[in-house]
This record gives sequence, structure tokens and C-alpha cells, in this order.
Amino acid sequence: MIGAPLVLPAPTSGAETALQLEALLGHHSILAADLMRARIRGDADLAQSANAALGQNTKAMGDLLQPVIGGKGREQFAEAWAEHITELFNYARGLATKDEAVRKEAHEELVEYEEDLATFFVAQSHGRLNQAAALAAVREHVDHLVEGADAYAAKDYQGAATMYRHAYAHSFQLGAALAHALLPAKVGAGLDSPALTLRSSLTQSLGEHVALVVAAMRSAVGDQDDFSAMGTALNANTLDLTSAIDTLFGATAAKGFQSRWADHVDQLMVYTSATVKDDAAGQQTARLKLREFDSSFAAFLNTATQNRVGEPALTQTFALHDRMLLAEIDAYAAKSFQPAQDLSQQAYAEMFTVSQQLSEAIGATLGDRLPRGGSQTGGGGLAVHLSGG
Amino acid sequence: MILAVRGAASVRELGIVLCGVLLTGGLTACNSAAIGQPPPSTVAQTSTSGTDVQPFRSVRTYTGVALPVRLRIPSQRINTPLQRLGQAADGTIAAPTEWQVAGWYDEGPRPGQKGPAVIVGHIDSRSGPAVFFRLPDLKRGDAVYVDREDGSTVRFRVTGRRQVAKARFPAKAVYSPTLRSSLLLMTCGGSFDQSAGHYRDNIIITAVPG
Repeated sequence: MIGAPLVLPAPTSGAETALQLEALLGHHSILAADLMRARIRGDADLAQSANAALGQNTKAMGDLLQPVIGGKGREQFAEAWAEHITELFNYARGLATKDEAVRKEAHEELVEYEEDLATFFVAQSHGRLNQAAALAAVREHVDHLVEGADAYAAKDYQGAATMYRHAYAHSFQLGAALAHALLPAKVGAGLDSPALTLRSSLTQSLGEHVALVVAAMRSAVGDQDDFSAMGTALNANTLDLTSAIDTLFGATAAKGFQSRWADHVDQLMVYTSATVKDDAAGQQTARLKLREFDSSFAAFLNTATQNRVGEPALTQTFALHDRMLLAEIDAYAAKSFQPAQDLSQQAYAEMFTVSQQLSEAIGATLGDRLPRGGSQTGGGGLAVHLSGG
Repeated sequence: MILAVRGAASVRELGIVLCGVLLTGGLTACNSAAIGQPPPSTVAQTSTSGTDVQPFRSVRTYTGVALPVRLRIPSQRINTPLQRLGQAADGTIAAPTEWQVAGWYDEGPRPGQKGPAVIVGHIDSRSGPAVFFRLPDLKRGDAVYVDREDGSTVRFRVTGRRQVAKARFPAKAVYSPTLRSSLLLMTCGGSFDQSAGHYRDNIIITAVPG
């Protein structure tokens, strides 16, 4: 239902828990960066809605991890995690108010919370994670957000957008590392399988599409100075998705994908422009063109996966994706920030489900074409030397 | 102690963060009074009805990774042009037609592209060493270079080595599609089956960009 906050399905396996942890950490990264940017711009309403969403995100991670870290561990995690968010906010506040003492104190607190979080993860890892590795992973997460905020405050919007993407990408790596450390060893052993890594990568790229298109649409509505940089980041995500299709289905398919995807993104921005101009006819034209994309793109993917995804169902999936994004920008333009936040979270969560469907269909389709065994790459002339045989 | 709330930065404005993040069971209960004196919203000032938005145009050009033409592994003095390989009649990756030339499996990813690119080469001929004779000696961290048709080069570093029986070759685990760039270098190993005329094992070197 459109308008409800982010809810991922209850995990049905350890692998599912790992994938959800990655996705939730990715979303945390986006929300934390949005919170810091909003504070730097002095956009209090948006900061508040991002903050509320961060609370939901922290709760969702606690719910997810409680079966493996226990109730007390969950409390410790939630509190330390919340404090690191508080200090990220304070860091942005120091930048916004040009109060070096506030910024410096927040940074010192962040360094301490990095150590606390690392210690917590190590204690919960049953010896699978060492302090140095845990600290490096948590520190990199914080560094990305802090450096992104620094760049944003300095009006280096391209640099900030690059860090926005790096922070998001690293969150998936952090999620994978924590899943290996926290989940039972037998679960961790299976997390690097091609099927799961394919699904994880698709979740990452499709989730980033939602995050960046929402950021670009909001920036357009606000006529913000970071719009061009967010557009560049959005195009980089489009190229990532195009290269993914190239890997999976070849260069010709990649070009077909890119053309459709570019139409999709462009029409979302056309709709945003029409919304800003109160141009109802322009909005309707964009809606109709997006519907064309929905059916064309569903047909494209259904053909590529040899009818494994179901064209009508996929058309509906993309239509829902569009409706959520359009409703999000309607709400945002109307300054209904909390509903807008809920919609963007829901659109992000939908990509988690879409990536599962697509990765299973792609895996099955391409699995039929894989080579069947190893290579016959020896004449035997040195067999005695090589093996004693 | 991890539960300690430190720092003196919790001014009134910070209430916004604490109410959102800490009250995990009742987030919507936060009220605006907790925010204190927030700065004015810039969204309201810049979202002007009737004005146009900044222009945006999606990227519509795409240049794929160029075809690989040469493999170089300085530590083992391997330097070979690359043939293009498909599948043999039995569904395995076809072997290179020359003992001293390695081949790239062209039905999979190109080296440096997302996914596992596969290059195979003979370990020996019927009378002496072949192009991948020294491949099993690669160590973790060794550099591997693939030169490409457009003049570019992608560098990999070795991350692992394993030996698997051809009779139980984990094709799905080795070849299944992913979106993580890697390079698999494969040759023969283990004992030689005289009756079949083949080695019984494969040696697989894995490498990642970097």
C-alpha cells in the first residue's frame, strides 16, 4: 500500500537476513547523508523527516539482528548506533553554523563511537571478526559520511555526490562483513555464492537508483545548487545498471536497456518539472510516457529471461515503482515531508523484492548456458614432473 | 561502556535526532517542540511555483569494456596473446588450439567487466611445458595484466588458488553470473589419466581488479 513506511518481509533464512542487513545499512547511509545535507542547508523539516526515517531504520536493524545478538545486544547496538547518528548530526550542525568547536567535538565523539561499535561487533562475532578489521570497516563508513558533509558544506557538490555513492556502496560491504561475523558460520559460508552476490548487487544498484532519483527530484523542486551533481550521480548509476545488463545479456541488450531506462529517468524529471510549474497537462503526459516504459521494459526483461518473470506482473511492478516516485515528489513539493519520506522508503524496499525476482530469473536463464565442466588443458608431456603420474 | 551517552553537544536542536533515533518504538510521537529553534527551510524559498527546474538529460551513450588481446603475468614470465574460445561439443570451455597461447572464454564477461572473466591455457604439451606451466606457482597478491583491443590495460591481483577434480567440477560456483568483477585463470593439474589422455584436476587461480 502506497504511503506506509518501509517494511521488508520477515527474513526466512540466514541468507535473507544478510541481504536485508546490507539493504538496511545502505538505506541508513542514504538517510544519514540526507540528514547531514539538510542540516547544512538549514532545511529543518527535511532533516526531521530523515531523522524519523533513521529511527525506523535503526529499529528495523535491531529487529533483524535480535535473533542473533539477543535482547541485550540489541539494546547495546541500538543505543550506540543512535549515538553515532546523533554525532553525525552534530558534525553537520558544526559545519552549518561554522562552529569549529562543535564540529571538532562531534568528530571526537564519532571516533569514540567507532571504537565502541567495533568492539560490540567483535564481541558478537564468536571470534570471526578482529578489532582492527571491525574498526576499519566502521571508520570507513563514518569517514564517507563526514567527508561527504565536508564537501557539501564547501559547496563541492560533485565531490559530495561521489561520497554519497561511495558511502552507499560501502554500506553493502559493511553489511556483508557483519553478516559473515554475526550470523552462524554455516550461513556465512553460503553468502558468497553467485546467486546471493548477484541478488545483492542488483539490490544495491536498484536501491541506489531510487535513492538518487529521489534526491535529484527533490533537488529540482528545491532548485538546489547540488542538482547537477546529483544528476551526474544518477547517470553514473544508469551506466552501472547498463554495464550489468551488458555482463548478463550482452552489449546489444545493454543498449536496449539503457535507452528504455533513460526514458524512464527523463520522464520522472519531466514530471518533477511539471509539478514545480503546476503544469497538470505536463504531469499527465509524463505519466502516460512512464506507462509506455513500464510495459516496454517488462517485455524487454521478460524476453531476456525467457518468460521467467511474467510480463504482466512485471509491468505492474514497474507501474507501482513509478506511482510511488510520483507520489513522493507530489508530497515533497507540497511540503508533506513525512509522507514523502515514507514513499521513498517504500520505493527503496520495493527494489529489494524486484532484485530477488530478477536475480532468480536471470540465474535460471543464464544457468542453462554455462559451461558444463573444467577445461582439458594439458597434453601430458610433463605429467611425471607435475604429478608423479 | 558502550551504553554511555557522551559529549556535551546535546543542545536543544539535538532533540530532533534523539527523538527520531532513540525512541525506536514510537518515532511518530516526536513533536516539533523538541526541535527548538530550527533554521528556516530553504525548500520553501526556492520551490517557486511557475518557474522551470534545472535541465537534466539521462546518459544515452555506453561504451563497453574492450575485448582482451593479451595476458601478462610478470612474476611467472607469462606473456601470451589471447584466442577467443567458445564451448566444446561436450559443453566444456574449448581448449586453446595452440600449446603456447592462452584463450579467453568469449561467452562470458570480458576482463575488467562486471562478472567472472575466464582465461584458460595448457599446462603442458605432449612434449614439454606450455603457456600456463608456471600458473600454479602464482601467489596471493601477484599482479596479472590483461591488455585490451582499445589499448587499455586492466590490472588484477591474485586472491586465491584451488585445485578441483574435473569429475566434480563446481561449474555453477565457478561460472555463474555475478556483477562483481573477477578473473579466473584455469589450467590442468593433478595426476594424468593415461587412458583418457587428460589430467584429472583443474587448477583455478582467482584474481580481482586492483
